[in-house]
Amino acid sequence: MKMHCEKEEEVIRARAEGLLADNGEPASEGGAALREHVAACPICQEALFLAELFERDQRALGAQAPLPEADLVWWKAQLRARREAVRRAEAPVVFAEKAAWVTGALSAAGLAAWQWPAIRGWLALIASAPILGPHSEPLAALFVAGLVSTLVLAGVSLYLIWSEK
Amino acid sequence: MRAMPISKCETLDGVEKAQEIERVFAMDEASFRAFYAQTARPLWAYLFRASGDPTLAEDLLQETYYRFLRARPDPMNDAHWKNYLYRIATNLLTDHRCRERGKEFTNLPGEAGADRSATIEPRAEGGSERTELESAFKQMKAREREILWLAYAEGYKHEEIAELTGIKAASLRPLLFRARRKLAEILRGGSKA
Repeated sequence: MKMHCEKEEEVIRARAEGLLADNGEPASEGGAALREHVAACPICQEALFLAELFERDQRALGAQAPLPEADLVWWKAQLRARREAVRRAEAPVVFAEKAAWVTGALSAAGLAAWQWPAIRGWLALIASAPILGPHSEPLAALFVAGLVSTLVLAGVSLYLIWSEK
Repeated sequence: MRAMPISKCETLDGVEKAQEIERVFAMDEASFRAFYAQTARPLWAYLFRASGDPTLAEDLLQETYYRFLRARPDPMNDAHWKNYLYRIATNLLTDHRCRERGKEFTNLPGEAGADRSATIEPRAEGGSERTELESAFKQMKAREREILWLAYAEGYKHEEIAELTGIKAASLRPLLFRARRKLAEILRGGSKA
């Protein structure tokens, strides 16, 4: 069975240009020849049937389309472009901030590892305080961890308040 | 990191000023309005018929115009701009389908997203014809719906459709033939019933 007709695209284009309309007007030579072809070609008939059906559907859908106003689309696009521009401009700052956090955390961990004997000494010193009682090294470690966390959180809070202003 | 308020944007000296941002768009506001008036309704119809979802069609329409404006294609005539617009829309439809397919794999049974496939209520004139077309389209594959619409509603040539959809030109003809035959058969069956 024939799958394709060489004239199909020509027929569809001619229909769109009104060359195939059977409106009583004298058709052009090409239009008349195409109409003769369509009358004998089932592929072109099927294509024309769909083109006409789709055109009616497209017109009806277009009339009912819940379209946003052009102004709104334009405004939203502008807004988004601005946001993206700001994001692009801020990207190096964000990267530097993240890098600073990572470097700070790594430095703290490195310092802790390097000075571990001294830290253990301090912990032992704190644990030997009479207020904590005997065998209280874990308690002392917890106390130091809490103190460090509080200092870090206070620093972050101050930074956030400062950047908000 | 908190987003910087939009109002600050215009004070970002040396970064991007409002006028500079407007200049990154493909056209000025007046040209855009005219282009939108000319293309939005048929584009929405294409997106709706290809996706079967009016809400999604509206979302994709806005995204299409945004990407079109940002893409800044070289100066073109209206026909080229329209092709460019439809290429973006077709890519967005494809991306959406891929995401949805991904969700199908990741969702547990019965956990699928809400069914967004609503219909636009057909008006009395030509209403039954549209209902038939709508139900016939639901039985077609997404790719088939796209190429049929581009060929017969938009009147694109086969080479142009191949370019818009990324289908090889040699594969398009048999694909289009099968899709057309399938739709015609569904419609004939529907009208007989």
